[in-house]
Parts: sequence; structure tokens; C-alpha cells
Amino acid sequence: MNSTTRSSGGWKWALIPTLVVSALLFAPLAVLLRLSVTAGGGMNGGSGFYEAGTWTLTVWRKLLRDPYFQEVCLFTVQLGLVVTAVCLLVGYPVAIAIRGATPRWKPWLLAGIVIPKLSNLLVTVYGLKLILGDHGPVNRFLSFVGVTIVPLALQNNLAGVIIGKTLLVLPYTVLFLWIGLEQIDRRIPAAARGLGASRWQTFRLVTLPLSLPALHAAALISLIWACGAFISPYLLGSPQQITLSVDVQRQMFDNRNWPRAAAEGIALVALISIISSTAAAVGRWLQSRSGHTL
Amino acid sequence: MLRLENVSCHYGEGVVAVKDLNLTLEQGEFFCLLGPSGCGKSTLLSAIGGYMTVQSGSISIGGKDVTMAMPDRRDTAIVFQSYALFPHLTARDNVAFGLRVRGIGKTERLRQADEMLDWVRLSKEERTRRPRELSGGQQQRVALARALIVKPQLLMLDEPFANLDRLLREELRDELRTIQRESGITTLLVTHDREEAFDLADRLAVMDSGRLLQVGPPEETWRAPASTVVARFLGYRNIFQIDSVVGRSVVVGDTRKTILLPDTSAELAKSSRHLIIRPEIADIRPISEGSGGSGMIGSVTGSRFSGAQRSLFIALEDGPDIEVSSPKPFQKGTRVVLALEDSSIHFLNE
Repeated sequence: MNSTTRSSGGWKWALIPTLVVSALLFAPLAVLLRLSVTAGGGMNGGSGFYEAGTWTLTVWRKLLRDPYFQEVCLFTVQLGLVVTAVCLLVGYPVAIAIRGATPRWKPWLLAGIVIPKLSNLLVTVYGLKLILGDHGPVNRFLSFVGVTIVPLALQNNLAGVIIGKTLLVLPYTVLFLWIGLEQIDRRIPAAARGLGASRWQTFRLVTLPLSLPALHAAALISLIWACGAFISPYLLGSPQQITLSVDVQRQMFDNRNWPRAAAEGIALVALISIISSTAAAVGRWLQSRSGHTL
Repeated sequence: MLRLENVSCHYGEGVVAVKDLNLTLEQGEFFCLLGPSGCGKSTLLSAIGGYMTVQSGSISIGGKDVTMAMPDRRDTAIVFQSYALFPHLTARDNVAFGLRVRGIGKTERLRQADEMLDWVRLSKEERTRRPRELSGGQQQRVALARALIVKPQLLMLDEPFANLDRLLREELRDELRTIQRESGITTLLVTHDREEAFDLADRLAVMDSGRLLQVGPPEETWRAPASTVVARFLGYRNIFQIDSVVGRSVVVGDTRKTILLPDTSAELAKSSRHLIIRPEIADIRPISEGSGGSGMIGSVTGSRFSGAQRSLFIALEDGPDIEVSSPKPFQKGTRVVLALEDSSIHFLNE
């Protein structure tokens, strides 16, 4: 009885933030939805950004049949998956290293991961442009040691996007993995070693399966961030390979086609929802499977 | 079998957990390390298992120096206090783990795991469960089976019964002893529970502040504790510092209180620093029964009943307060006479 009262009270308190968050999420979406079914806009003859008060499905009909839009969607998802994979591959060893660090070193390593996130996004990306540029330290070093003769193109192409996006997403990946790894009782891998397992066997048979929930969470958060990529493809990528976010910006400011931009915005939210729920389902399936194997 | 020579371990910076320790275990021996929490006994176990580097000294197992060897190259197995079972594996797969990493095929390792689980008496149905679906006692059995299946030269147990209720603890203790005797495996058990150590050990060591204070068979250690620290840890209460000896009277502590010794003990008292009155041998009679002979007079100030045992608290006239065990109950306030024999007293030179 008592606990029922208490839990219902807690629910009431949770209601307020839930409503605030939902309002902030769904109200703009509702506005976008309304905008996406208006006529006009863009270079297709309209005068303004859109024609207020009109109702039409023209934009949606065109959009779903547009091969360019499909290409952009495909690239967005592919980029998201690649960046997620790179983040997990790079982030996992980093997270393991942080977990294994002594109490004296741990705060410094964590700070190293988090501090880049405290600086302005544009500053970070422009800094990256300098570093990756033809006369930047990376290319100078490569030509100095004789690996390359012509500077490597590390920006305004796919490599630049992947490097940039990875650097922006990686802190989240590492933090999620690290928190998950810290949850594993250190005596469990220690017990495996004592039973004769080598370091690699301990990792493969104990640490890795026990860190699956953390990998799952880290993969999800990385995927969501990576699919919403805007700044990196905009500033570091090739103009021919753009993500949905970048195209939304183009439709709004270059093409002045607000209905289309709105429709693409909604498509992006839908795309991320589909990808993340698929990833979540795959993750759950993998975890339930791994538990039974030995 | 196991030989520790001048082993020292530091914890963190400068905190010495084990100091210059020497210990040798015989093949097939059941050895208990008994000590209060923080005495360094678990650290020593970690060092022997290879989870901690020793700062100095050497460790050899089965004649092989393993001081610098990794845990998987030591031929030991530890049952941790928390059991540290693999939460993602079934009980059966937990037990088979040690064989899996040795490259033994699935059929064979599961057959051996089943054999081992028969031995620790875990039912067929319980074997397919994950650790969190098992009770504390069942988890303990799985942990033991998992350690034994790799046939280690040395089995180490770190407070293996600490998380279990008393009844189960005693039951599993009996089982562990049976299994140890049958397998003949050299076993090192760490505990803070003296009853457990007395019950299980062929030999035991009392450890404090990183050192072994006394090593020997349980009965011998109980009969003749070497120091007040050991005596206190073994559960002795009536420990008094000898101030001076006048005839048969010993003045104890700085309170000018006296204890009346049997004739034959008086001489020994002169060369000793402390004396212990054993709780179980004091001869107590109510004073009304007409006390014959000499003795100390006191009155009962209270008692404590714990089933198998009854303790009486007695305030001696002219003497200190003491605690003795008594088969008979006494009313609070009863005046009693208490006669000590030679065997009731243990002298300490320290």
C-alpha cells in the first residue's frame, strides 16, 4: 500500500520533465510536418520559402521517388555505420586502458577524452582542417619520413568526414564503454586467469561477453550521433557526398525549399529511429545468443 | 609443496601488507591462515596466486619458482569470497571453463564437469542455471568444483563460507574437508573465524599486521598461544600482565589486584610476563556448599548462554574480573569459590 503511494508519487514527479521533453521534441516535429505539406518554395517557381496556408503532398511524392534523396539517405546510413565501427574499434582498447589505469592516471586519461568536447564544435573542426590540410602537421610528417611524396588528401573527401566524425563521436563511445567495463567485477577475469586462461582467452571468453551490454549501448549512442552528422560532412567532406543533415541545410538556405527541407528533417528523425531500434534489436539478439554458447 | 621465503608485499604506496614472511606447506596438507580483517592474509593469497607482485622474497610451488609467473602459469586455483563465477555461463560451463582454456573438447569437458558436480552434489537441473539463479551454497559448490576440475597443485580459498548462514556453513565445511581428504589436494584457506580454522586445519597460522605470529596444529596452538595477541585472537579473555609475585599471590596489572596460584605454578610466574586463566578448567563451587581448601572468593555478576556453552562473569574479591565457562547455571550475585590448578593457567614470556 505504502509503496504504491510512493511509486505513484514518483510517477507524478516524472510527468513534468517528461512533458517538457516531449513538448520540445514533438512540437517542432509537428511544425515540420505542417510545413512539409505546404506548396511552393524553392526554385520551382514559388516566390517565398513556402506558401502559407496551402495543403499538398507534392513534396512527399517527389521526395520518395527522388534517386538523389535515396542516395543521400544511403550515404548517411553508411557513414553512420562506418563511423560507429571505427569508434568501437578505437574506443574499446581506449576504454580498457582507462579501466586498467592506476587511480593516479585515470582522471587524466578521462580528462583527455572529455576536454575536447568542452571546446566549440566549429573551433574543433577548423582545427582539424588545419591539422589534416596539405601543409598540416600530418602531411608534413608523412612526407618527412618519406611515406608520401604528394600530400595525402585528408579533407574535402570521405576520409576527412570519417576522421572528423570519429573524433567528435569517440568521447561518447569511450565513456559508455568505460562505464560498462567498470561494472565488471575485477575478480571475475582474475578468476579466469587463475584457472589457466591466457590474457587473450580471458578477454575473448569473459571480458568481451560481459561487456556486450556496454558495447551495445556505446554502439547505439555512436550510431545516433554519427547518423545526425552535419558539421563534419559540411566542413570536411566532399560536396558530392553529403548527409541528410547537410541536405536539409542546403534545401533551406540554398534552394529556399522549406517544405522539402521539413520533409527531409522528418525523414532524418525517422531514419535514426529505425536504425537505432534495429541496432537495439540486433544487440539484444546477440546478447541472448552469446549467453548460451561455450 | 608451497614454500614462501622472506615474502614482502606492498599495497599502493608504502603500505606494507605482508612483511618478510616464511611458510612451508606439506603435500596434501590443509592449512588455515587465521587473522583479523586487514592482517594481510588475503593479500598473501593474491601474491601466491600471482595477482600481486611481491616486492621481495620468493614463492615456489611444487619445487618450481613461480615468484614472477603470471596467474595462469602457477598451477593454483582460488575460490574467492565472492566466488567470482562467470555470470554469463551456466553452472556446468563455469566448471568446464578451466578445461576449455586447456583445449579439451566439448564432450569431454562437459563429462568431467558433470563428474565434478556430482562430487559437490549439485543437481542436474541446477547445473543448467546461471550463477545468479543459484543460492549462495550452490554458488559455493560451483566455485569449488570449478577450482578442483583443473587439478591444481594448490587450492586456495579466501573466506569461502563468509557469505553463508551458519547451518549451511557447517554443512559445507564438513563437505570441504571430506573432498579435501579424498582428493589429497594441498589446501590453503584464509579465514577470520577461529572455529572454522580449528575445525578444518591440519596446521594453522595466526596472522597479524602482515606477519605470522604462530604456526602449528590447532590443538597445540589453542593449548599454548605464544603471545597475548594470539591468545586474544583465539578467544581468550582472562589475560593478565604479571606485576609481581609474592608467595602464591600474583599481583596483576596496575590495579594491585591479586590472583592466587596453585603452589607448583608460583615459580613459573616469576619468570613470565603474562598469565592466562583458561575459561574451561576453572573449578567453581557455590560458597554455601562449604568450601574446602583454598581458593579465590568472588561473586557472579552475570552470565551468557550460547547453547553449547555458558559463560559466567565473576568479580573476584581482591582480584580482577574473569570470565569462565560453566556447565551449571548460577544465580547472579551468588558467592563462589574458585580453585585454580596448574592446567588452568598458561604463562606467557612475552
